[in-house]
Amino acid sequence: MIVLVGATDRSDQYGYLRQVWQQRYQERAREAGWSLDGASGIGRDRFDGADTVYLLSIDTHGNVLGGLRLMPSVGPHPLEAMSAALFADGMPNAENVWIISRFCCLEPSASAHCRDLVARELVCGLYEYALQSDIGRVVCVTQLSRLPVILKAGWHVRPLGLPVPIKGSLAVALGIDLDPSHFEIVRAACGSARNVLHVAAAPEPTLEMAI
Amino acid sequence: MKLEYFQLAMDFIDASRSVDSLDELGQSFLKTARQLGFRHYACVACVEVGSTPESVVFLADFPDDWASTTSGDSGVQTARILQLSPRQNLPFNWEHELVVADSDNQPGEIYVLNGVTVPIHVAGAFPGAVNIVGIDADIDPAAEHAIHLMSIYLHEAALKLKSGDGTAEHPVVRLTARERQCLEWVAAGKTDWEIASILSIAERTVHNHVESAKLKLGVHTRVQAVVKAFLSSLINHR
Repeated sequence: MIVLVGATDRSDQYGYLRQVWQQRYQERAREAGWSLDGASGIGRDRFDGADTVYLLSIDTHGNVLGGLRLMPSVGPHPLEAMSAALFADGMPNAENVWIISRFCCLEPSASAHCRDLVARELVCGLYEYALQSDIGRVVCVTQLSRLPVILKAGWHVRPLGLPVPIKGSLAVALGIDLDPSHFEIVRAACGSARNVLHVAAAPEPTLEMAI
Repeated sequence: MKLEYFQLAMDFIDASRSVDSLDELGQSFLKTARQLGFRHYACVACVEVGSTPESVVFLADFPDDWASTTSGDSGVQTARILQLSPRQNLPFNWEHELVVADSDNQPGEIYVLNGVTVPIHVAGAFPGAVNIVGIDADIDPAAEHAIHLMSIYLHEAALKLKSGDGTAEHPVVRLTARERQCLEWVAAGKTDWEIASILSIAERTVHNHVESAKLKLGVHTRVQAVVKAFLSSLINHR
């Protein structure tokens, strides 16, 4: 199941976000060689704001298996700080273009098959959310080695520039068109036969009584 | 960024979405690769040596005039091509020396081939690789990045065309274990006599295995057989 965490339902879904941020902290600690004994830190950056949208893959026990972060391209976003060489025609900037970041599977020891299932569910959830929210295109920067997996989802992916060496790897900027006509193709490619996006029910309006 | 290289890559990527056949796809890739300074390519699956399933991708352009010399008992001058590495995630460069025979089938010019391998990993599919070779060692890094990008789209398009076509576009080559062993020792520069000693079989038998491999691979010389077998992941380097 994909849970949408937006600005309006943050308090109910905070537990999920905390899992994401804790895992980010642990990953950062592992990379830096820190000891995790007793560590209970969380990893947030300035883009984990109140208006950031998250799509999270949740299992039946409420564990977050993976997720991604979404924000509009017209506001501050993490790609702004990246090399301009990634974008042949400049950074995309439009109301219907959103930026994906932190697309990940949270469990480092998960098998490639499990990670693939989580990724495919997130792809479907992203597409459903985009169609509901009039998002026509998403942009991301990822490692070149992940491009074959991204293409496998069956959606329309266009490089936005040549790969650029960054920190010992090759990064590439991608634009993914989210056209309604391609949705069923993507869903079939991801092996999903039904909607996966769960949106929390809107709170019931309180009645005001004139006394 | 060299915009002209990016545009070349995008032209191929767009074309890869509209081609109807593997041949058309391969020709489109080769045309652009040559504009970027490369000469030949192979798009292959890194499967168990000698056990290429029919469903995997195999798309390549091999030169007919790549050959080395044979000089009787002194054996074949072969050259190490490359070692496809399914464990690599990043594209990597390699170099290979190739001796081209002259019209009298004697050792002629020596070329140093400069190549790039782009590993491709997708869950649920065989590990793949696209190997692209050229002569010029001074290819612009931006041109290399363009070929990296194109290679991934080539593999993806080839997979789609392959899955959509019930018949194999290219006949599957299956080498026997002995044929593979003999070719691997040929690639290591051994003569038939030396291979016979190593494998404890008759020299004539070694010759027959190599000839059989050449026939299956559709080539005329031992070095062509080695080149094609390496690029097709049928043999490993010893």
